[in-house]
Amino acid sequence: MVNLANPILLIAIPLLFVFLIAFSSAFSKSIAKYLPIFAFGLNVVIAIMIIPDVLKNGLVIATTAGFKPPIAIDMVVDRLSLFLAIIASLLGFVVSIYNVFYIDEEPEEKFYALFTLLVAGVIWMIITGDLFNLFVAFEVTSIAAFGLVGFHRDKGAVEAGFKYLVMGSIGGSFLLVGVIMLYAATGTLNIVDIAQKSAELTFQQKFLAYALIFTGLGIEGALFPLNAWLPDAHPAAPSSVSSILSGIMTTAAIYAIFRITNTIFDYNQIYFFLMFFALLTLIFGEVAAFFQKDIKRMLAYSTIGQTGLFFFAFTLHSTNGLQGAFMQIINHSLSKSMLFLIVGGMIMQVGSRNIDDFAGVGRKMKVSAFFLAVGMFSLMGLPPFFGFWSKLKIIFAALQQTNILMVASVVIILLMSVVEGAYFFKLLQAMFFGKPKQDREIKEASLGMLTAVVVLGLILLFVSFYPTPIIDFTHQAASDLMNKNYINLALKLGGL
Amino acid sequence: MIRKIVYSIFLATIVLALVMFFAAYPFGKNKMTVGEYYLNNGVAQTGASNIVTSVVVDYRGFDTLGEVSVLFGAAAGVAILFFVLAENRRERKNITSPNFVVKVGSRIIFPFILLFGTYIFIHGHLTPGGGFQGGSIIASGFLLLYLAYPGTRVSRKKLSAVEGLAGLTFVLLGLYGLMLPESSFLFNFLPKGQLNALLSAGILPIIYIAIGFKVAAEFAGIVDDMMCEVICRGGEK
Repeated sequence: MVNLANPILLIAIPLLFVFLIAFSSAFSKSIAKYLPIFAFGLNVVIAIMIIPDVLKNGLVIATTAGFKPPIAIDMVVDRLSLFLAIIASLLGFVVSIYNVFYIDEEPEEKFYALFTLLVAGVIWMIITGDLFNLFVAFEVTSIAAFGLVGFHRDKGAVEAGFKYLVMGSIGGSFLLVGVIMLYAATGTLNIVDIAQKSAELTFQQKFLAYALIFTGLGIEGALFPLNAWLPDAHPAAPSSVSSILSGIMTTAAIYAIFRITNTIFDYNQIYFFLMFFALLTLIFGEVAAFFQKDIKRMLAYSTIGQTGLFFFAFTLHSTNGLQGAFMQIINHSLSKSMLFLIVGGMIMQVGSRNIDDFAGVGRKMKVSAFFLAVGMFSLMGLPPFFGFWSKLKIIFAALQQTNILMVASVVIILLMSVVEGAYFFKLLQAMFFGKPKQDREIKEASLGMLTAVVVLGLILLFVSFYPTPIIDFTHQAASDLMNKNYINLALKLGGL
Repeated sequence: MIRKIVYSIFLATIVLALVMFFAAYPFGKNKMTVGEYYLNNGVAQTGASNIVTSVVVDYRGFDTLGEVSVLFGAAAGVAILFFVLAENRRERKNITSPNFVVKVGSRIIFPFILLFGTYIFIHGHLTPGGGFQGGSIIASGFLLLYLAYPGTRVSRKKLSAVEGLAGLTFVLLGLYGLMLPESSFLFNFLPKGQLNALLSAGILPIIYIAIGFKVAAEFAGIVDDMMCEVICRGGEK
């Protein structure tokens, strides 16, 4: 009997549907719309079926080609990667529903195929246990994203897509060369195997490989000096695509940096250096977001800021810090994807992306505006919402390490939260109390689009008011990462 | 001037650092643990006499599934960017007709290109080459047709069907491996056969044939999109 709780299915099923979409488009145009919903619906079910195994053993390994890991590729799922895979599948599922009502431009079937491929690639990046496979997943994700960013084919979209294409390809090359360096030094590509052998490597060998991999993944993960593509690409893409790009794709790249830094290159000096980048990313993102006139561009810069925040928490390199980072990732993924979906619906009604044109929209689109406020409050970290718990955790974790630099960092984080609050409140105030500029008839978004928004909103509200299971789970995931359980358990369970 | 000096110092530092670091890597030494394993066991374990194929399609077949998806994504991206709505299509009239030699030559050579491409991907597990190479050769035959007869149109629906079916074959073969006792994606479940025979190496030739069709369909699609960019827009700006 087939064991359905196999991590490889999380990738194989979406890929199966990608090719099914291509095949079906030869016969009927309308089937392609609905296939991604099935793909990610199945994915969510399978991911949930893996949970008991992961809770029991701490780690699940799936081999390919019938060979043991260092010889063939394997997929490794621990608490952290399973959790991110669930979020990615869930977002894929919800956004697929939204897409059915949102996309009305040709060539639709290509859009759905690429969209499915994008989410599959993100899940792939998260659960792979092999460095070269990580590069392949990175390429799958970026190639799908390039096409989707240019989907509207207007001047802005094509330009943004091209910019992203150039930067993404350079990033991919850096990553590839970094992986080659590690392969040259250790003779293997499996992450656990490299981690085992990395102790023998000299500093020079490790450093060059790390610098290259960090730069490559940093471009995709939008870390400060490398993120010039993001503020163009996210607004230009269809909103459902921005929602995936912002919600989970940058996060997946940051996750890969997490994983590689923590598993392979564990030397403590690196964290101080990374912290510098994290804070720069945070400041740059939030300050730039404050000055934006384009609503989607504002959200895109806010994504950069949030990325900086959870990357900072990661560089604290303590159980509490990592836990804060994971909580913030959950908060950001759910809220930001929801915000992009809502804003997509609003732009359809308003017909513009300029913030000034959104005055008074909140009074017409009540449900959308309500969840928009929920998502923004959670991102800011206002008390009853999940973002409050995650920001609190990060600040506590930072203050645990008593030195003056940490205090300064906390001051920066709080200051940036204020900036964040300023631009979100400015928008909300205009939306609810502003005078409508034009006489355009504004209706609530269509029922299908609202369904997607409401599902995400309710999940966010649920975790806000009942955060205990997530706090426990992320605590476990964080201590797994600190104790190097990824390596230990993989060795025990025959992952090598 | 000062800027140039600063730049060159900066570049020199980076190059120096790179040289220093690259010198630390043991390139050219026999240290590839995994590679050695492939060389010693590849033929016996996979039944493919082409060792590259045994690595690309068997040991690291999952990467190849990824590469196939990358190509699929790239072709779909090109199709999105070059898409022209049916009602906006206007055939361009003022195209210089290619000369007689190109026309007749391409008709003679086209079947041979198809044959050669097919040969390359069918023998992927025996001789150098494989699905990607064979597929690109076949697509180059289509390119030749498009150049010789600018009015050529390949049915995109048929291309999609071929592309989708080939991809489905690959994934379904992989999924079948999960149903076996080994429960491993892309497990080579067919008999290995005799070394160097056409029917050997289990599922590897099937996968390479699927990849060959897929790559050919995708590249032909890209050629069609790019030709359409010249011809379907009716020459208007």
